[in-house]
Amino acid sequence: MVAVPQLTKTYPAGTPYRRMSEVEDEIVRVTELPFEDFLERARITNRSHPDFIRPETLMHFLRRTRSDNNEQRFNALFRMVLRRLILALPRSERVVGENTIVDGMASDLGDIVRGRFVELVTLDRAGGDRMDFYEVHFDEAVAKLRMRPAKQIRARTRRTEMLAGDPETGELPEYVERAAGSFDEPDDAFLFDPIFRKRLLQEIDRLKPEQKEVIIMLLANIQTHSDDPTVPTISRAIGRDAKTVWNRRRDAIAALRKALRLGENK
Amino acid sequence: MSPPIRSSQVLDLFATAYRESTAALAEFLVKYPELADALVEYAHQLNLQRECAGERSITPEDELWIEAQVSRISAARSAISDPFAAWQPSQYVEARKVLGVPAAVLIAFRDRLVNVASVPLPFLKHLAELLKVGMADLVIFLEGSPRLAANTSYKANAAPGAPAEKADFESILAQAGVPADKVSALLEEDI
Repeated sequence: MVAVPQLTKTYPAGTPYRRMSEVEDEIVRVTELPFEDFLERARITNRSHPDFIRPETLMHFLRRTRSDNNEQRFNALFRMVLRRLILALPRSERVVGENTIVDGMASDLGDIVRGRFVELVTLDRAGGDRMDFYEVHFDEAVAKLRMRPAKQIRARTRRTEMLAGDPETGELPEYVERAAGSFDEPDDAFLFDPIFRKRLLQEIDRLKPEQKEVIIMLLANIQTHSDDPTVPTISRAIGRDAKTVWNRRRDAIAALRKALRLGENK
Repeated sequence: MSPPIRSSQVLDLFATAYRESTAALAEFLVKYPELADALVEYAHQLNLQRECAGERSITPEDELWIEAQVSRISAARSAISDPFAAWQPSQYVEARKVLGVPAAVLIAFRDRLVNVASVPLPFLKHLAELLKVGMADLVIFLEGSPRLAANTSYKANAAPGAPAEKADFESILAQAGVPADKVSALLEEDI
């Protein structure tokens, strides 16, 4: 039986990164395959296909080329890994009726992430544990790669339509109140409706940062506030009082309802 | 004094836990309140990832991009050039200021004394920009064996030789007298 070398990077408590057992088993299974057969299988991108090879496994073999110094082998594996990278990125275009709308922000982000990934692979080939997590959870590692550029692009392209309240009275525009569905308790049921899920996540990106963080925590079922000091709350996480959290939640929900065209007939 | 939290590793641990349950966000916010912004943003990216997985296919433009990347790295490997060869003293001075490191650090890069895998990506990218070369070109050059600069003169009976081993970036910085707080800043990876 082939022994799969352990990853060397460690979590803060000192425990080493560990691949999923499915990945380790797969590495063992495909190690003995002739390289051409391996590549044939690596071309399969349908995850439910019985011969599908996980991206974590492909990353493992790509990183192994550090020691064999075989350019052709690296190039062939690099192509396969880049395909998986592209497949792990959210689409930057969506079809509305007969039109295809390209989301410039998502497109820019995709380009930056691709570039950063190539740089990381280039550097990883020289050694180190920088890309160990790609052998643990590839999709999650790609998601992490999007974090910083997403923040930078968002800051650049923040929507110009502000949902700020009246500077004197502090009241929100009337259409926002209407979109929110209620003056007292905003109707946030749509946040958890799978029908809206994909559009919702994209629209969350366009919220103001302080609204966005509240909504993401709501989606993770974190309470807005609690008198019990041991309960994790949004209020504690962002260091703001309950009223501020509530206001941000209200404004975010209004903005999202408007973006998703909910409550237009009210 | 407890060691600084390595945020990248915490985020990796978080992503693993978040796969099992979104309740991990609350748990990690309590445990690592200083990383709240990053944890919340990562949770969002993970939600997007989960929702959008498998909706793409590879387009002909994607294939062209892939081939371009493969060709670029192959070209860099097949024709390794010295990006420092044409550097003038004034450029070393400018790079010292821009990168915030003493000349000895730049010399260590020039003479390939640095273990390139230990250098944070932002620093390498910055250096590559100053040298006006691609990241791959710089990395591949630095992977080569340590060397003696051609224009260095020595007074010794024995012929001078390049060091046999490379040193990590952190150790090069320390040897060059870079203060500890600056070393930490230079060692930062952008997550």
